[in-house]
Order: sequence, then C-alpha cells, then structure tokens
Amino acid sequence: MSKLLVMPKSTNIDLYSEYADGFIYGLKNYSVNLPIEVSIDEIKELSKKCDTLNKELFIAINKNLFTSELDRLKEYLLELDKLNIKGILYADVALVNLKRDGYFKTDLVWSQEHLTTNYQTINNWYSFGVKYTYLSSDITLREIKEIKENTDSILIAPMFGYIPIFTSKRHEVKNYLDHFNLSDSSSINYIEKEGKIYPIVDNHEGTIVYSNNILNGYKEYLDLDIDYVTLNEFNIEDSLFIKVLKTFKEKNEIDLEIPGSDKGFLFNETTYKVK
Amino acid sequence: MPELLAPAGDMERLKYALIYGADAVYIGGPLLGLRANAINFSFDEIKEACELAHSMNKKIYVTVNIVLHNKELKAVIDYLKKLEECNVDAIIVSDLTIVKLALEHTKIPVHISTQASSMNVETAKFYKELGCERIVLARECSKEEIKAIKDNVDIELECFIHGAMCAGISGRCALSNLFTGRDANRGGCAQICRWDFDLLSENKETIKGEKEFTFCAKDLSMLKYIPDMIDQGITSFKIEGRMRSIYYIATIVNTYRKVIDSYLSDKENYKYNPEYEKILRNCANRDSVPQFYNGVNDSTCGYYNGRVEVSNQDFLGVILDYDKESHLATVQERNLFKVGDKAIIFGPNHEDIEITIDEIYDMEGNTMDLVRHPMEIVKVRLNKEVFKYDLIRK
Repeated sequence: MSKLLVMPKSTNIDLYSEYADGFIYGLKNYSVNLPIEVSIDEIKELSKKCDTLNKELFIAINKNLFTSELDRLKEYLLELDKLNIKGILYADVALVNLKRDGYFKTDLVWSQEHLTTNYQTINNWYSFGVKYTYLSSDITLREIKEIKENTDSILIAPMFGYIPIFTSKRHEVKNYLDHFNLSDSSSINYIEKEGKIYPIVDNHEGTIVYSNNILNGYKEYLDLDIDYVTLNEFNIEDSLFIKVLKTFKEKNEIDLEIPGSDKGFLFNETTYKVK
Repeated sequence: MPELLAPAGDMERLKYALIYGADAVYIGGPLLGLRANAINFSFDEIKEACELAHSMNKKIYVTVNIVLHNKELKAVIDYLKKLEECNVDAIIVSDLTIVKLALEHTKIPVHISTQASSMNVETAKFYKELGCERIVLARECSKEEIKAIKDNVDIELECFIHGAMCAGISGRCALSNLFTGRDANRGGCAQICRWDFDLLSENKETIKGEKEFTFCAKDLSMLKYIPDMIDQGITSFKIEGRMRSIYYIATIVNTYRKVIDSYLSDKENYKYNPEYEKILRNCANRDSVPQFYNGVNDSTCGYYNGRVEVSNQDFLGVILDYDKESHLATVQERNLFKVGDKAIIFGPNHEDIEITIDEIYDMEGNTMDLVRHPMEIVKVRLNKEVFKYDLIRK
C-alpha cells in the first residue's frame, strides 16, 4: 500500500498524524508551490515530533536557485543532515552537485514538477545518487505504470489536491495591481477564464497558478502500489481535507465524491503537434 | 568576440540570418524540438544548412530540447546519430537522457537549453563536469548572477538578448497543457500567458483595472547593454524567434550586428544609437525592456495594453534583383506601397538608403500607382544600387 504524504497548511501535525505516514514542508525562502514554508528551527521541531510519532519528514528545497542564495543554503543543508529527514525535494540541479561534492548526505527527490515524465531520465538521475522521484502531475496513468515497471527509483506521485501549473519569479498579481493603481490584500487570488476559476498566489518568491479542479486520483492509485502518494492541502477546507485523508488511509470502498475534483491528466494525454 | 546567434524556422530565414550577420543559427529538426508546430528542417535541409553555414565559416545548432515522455525514448539515439551525420555544430538540450545519450553516442557538442533554467554556479559546474560545452542561461538571471557563474565556472555562457519572454520559469509552466492539452514542454506551447483573464480577490470579487489581467511580458531587448555583456565575456548572444519572418530576423540581426561591431571596433568612442530602438520596436510592434538583467522585476516588465500586435507592418518588400543599366529593382511586395511613399532600403553590406518611390512598373512594363497584393512582383526605379536580399521598410 502506498504511504500517504501530506503537504499540510499547518505545522500542527497532530491534526493529520492519525492518518498520514509522512509530511512535506517547504524550507522558508527556498521552496515554492507548498501550502506552507517553515524555518530551519521549525523543521527541527517538526523533525522531533515526527520521530516521536514515527512519521516521515520530507523537506522541499524546490525553487530555482541563484548563486547568491547558495551559501545560506549550504548552512541549512548541514543542519538538515543532523535531523532525521527522509528526503529533500529539489528542482535545481545545484542540489545534486552539492550532494555529489559532499556538502550534505540527506537523500534527494527529483522534483521538477513537469519534467519528471519518463523512466530513462529518472534512472539517469538515480545514477547520480537521486534516490526518489516526485512524478509529474501531467502524465497519464499508463505512463506512470510504465515508469514504475522500469525504474528502481522510489516513486512519489501527486494523488490529491490542486496541481501547480505555473511558477514564475515575476509578481504577476502585484504588478497588475501596481500598474492600474489598484489595491487588494488577498493571500490567494483567482483568475477566471470561460467560467473556470484558477487559484493564483503571488508571494515573495513570485507567482504560482494552480489547476481549477482538485486532482483526485484515489481510485486510480489504490492498486498501483506507488511507494508514496501526496495529498496537498492548499486551498482546501481543513475538515474536508481530514475527511479525505481518513478515507484514503482507511481505504474506504466508497467512491469519494469531492465537488470540483477531476482526474487531472491521468487519462488525458497531452499532445504537441497540432494536426 | 561574442557570437551573434539567430533563429530560423526554414531555409529562407536561415539564409537571411546568415547573410545579415549572424555567426550561428539555431534551427529545429524533424523531431524532439520545442517548436513542434513550426515548419522545421528535414535531415536533408539540416545538411544543406550546415554546408551553407560552414561555407561562410558559421555554425548551425539544432534544438533537441523536448522533455521526453516514455514513448519518445526509443527515437533518441538514431535521431542524434542522424544529426551528427548532418554535421551540426551543436545540439541544444534540456532532458538529461538526451544529454547523456548525445555525449555517449555522438561527438556533437551539447548546449544546455534555457528550458533547464540554469541560474547558478553549482548547476553550471554539474553540466561542465558532465561534458557539456555551453549553458543557455535562464532568462531570470541578473547581470550579477551571470557574472558569478562566469567568474567561477569555465563553461561557455549563452544569454538571450532579444525577443519574446516566457512569463513563467522555463520548464515550470504547464498552462498550455491544462488549458489546451498541448504540452508546452514538448513543443506545443499555446501561449496561454498572452491571454486575458479576470482577476478575482480571495472572496471571488472581480478586481478590475483599465485592461484585463494577463501574464504577458514585454519583449526582451538588451540593445543598451550589449557593451556591458561583451565586457562580461558572455560567449553567445541569442535572439529568440524561430517562427519569425525574414524581415524580423534580418532587422534584428542587422541591428545587433552593427552594435556589436561598432563597440568592438572602438570601445573608447562607442556611442549608443537610440535610432536602433525605433527600428527594433517598429519591426516587432511591441514594447521591449531589459527584463531581469538589471534587477528590475516590476510592473514595467508586464504588457497590459490589451491589444494583439501585428508585426511586420512596416515591411514593404524584398529586393530580388537590381539591373544597374536600367536602375530597376525587382521587388516582391509584402505590405502596400505606392508612388510618393518614402522608404528605407537596408541590407547587410551597406548603409541604409533613404528613397522616395517615384516609379513602379508591373512585369509587363506598365506603370502602376500602388502595389497592394502581398508577394506581387514589380519593378521599382532606384537610382542607387541595391542588392539581392536587401529589404525595404517604411
């Protein structure tokens, strides 16, 4: 059975610990696309708590990094090495190089969210010591099965939640407001097109746009035996999220009907040549 | 001396890029590139392109920068070997599998595509140690970040200097995938970032400016910063736009060629020529800024004019031939022109020529007042000598 990895909105892991097997938190100023980012001190506390509860802790350092951000990062990586961190989700190849050069030992999770799309490239990163892969959210179930059959990498798959579909270093919402002299202090905005509404977050790292619907791959992943599946709490009510988590953990046979959810790309293969 | 690297979507555009002063041209092949819906080059055409470029002591790079899915894996090695047989000078790649297969099975130099969003020293070291020759840096890099990489890693660096910008970080945008099912990371980008949207608050109330919300970025133009970039030691200056016209390619290449040559020939007395800005702006019909290079990442980089630009409107025609005895130029029309119009003829080997169109004839020798049909071929009397491949603009 797949382990359930939660990307929570809160650092209070007691809220989820009855059903979650582990957690993914973003490192403050070094992560994107996570519902919450935490400081290194908070990670130390979370690590202790996870050890006590026998839960696994992954940390996302998944932004694209500038050289000017690397010195501080090296210090953090040494701190993380002292903790019981299961893996570091990375998007920037710098992490692979730093690990290869011996700056830290914690295992890596290849997590370039739209690029982890085939088994050969997964195997190539594996040969560079990258133990885990967080699969792309825009590949099909058939492709996921093929990848599983053709790799030794430990796989993590997005199963539930809004999918990040756009990451930018630009402040798209702030810039628009500034340009037209508008004010708004929403922590989450939305963009609307043809009746569909997409969450958009503009924070200190830039801008993220999420899918209009919640991915719900529960039924599809039930028998797939992927090592880990993730549940992302972003923009989802606490009570609904806990209910979903409980249902997944208990493998309820009932179909979990969630308003505004779909199967993402699991059955929708993308094309690239317009006929 | 830095390389001026131009795009080309077909053989005609490639010729213009080379003739107008590009040192190298990047093109897409029949497979695995990020412009799946461009015409792209067949293997025979790639070979022909390489022969032409090499005869001019110039280079051809082929984009192989798709993000692979399982079903594309089997095609890679054969494809790379065929490119090697064509004598290409480098391939531009982002997927690690293609990088490794190219390095293991061919001798083609590998350039890491901007699709890999490389922006730091450690990433550059990784690709250097892997055996890659060059990195096309992420467009988000500032001058200082470029310098840090240049100072610390002995690898060729390529930077974009002109053209359209992605709103998102390359490789981290799937807007096209979600909105249209066309995979941006496999060459199907539908440019959703240029669409208009309604922006809503967290309470789902509309926030309305004078124009709709969009992700659309102004174009990149590094015209003012070329001397700075030359002094930084950047290897290659890249122009975006494999799907652009011959006019666009010729104009942009010609302008940057002049700036680069002018600065290198006399650094002490080099003066920036603001006239070039007008030429570039009129050509693309879009505003352009230096984007992230000078550290500015604010509302001045966004495009909120709510209009769809039609480029090339100042492009009047192509010189196909010139008869020195009759002083008649054979011209292929691209936009309407008429007797009395003032225009400029530009080409790779001469200063711009200002003209007033006095006489137009059809191919039977009958006089005409105006030429209104695109691609129509006419004769125009020009007292100064012009050359094949020269272009006419307003």
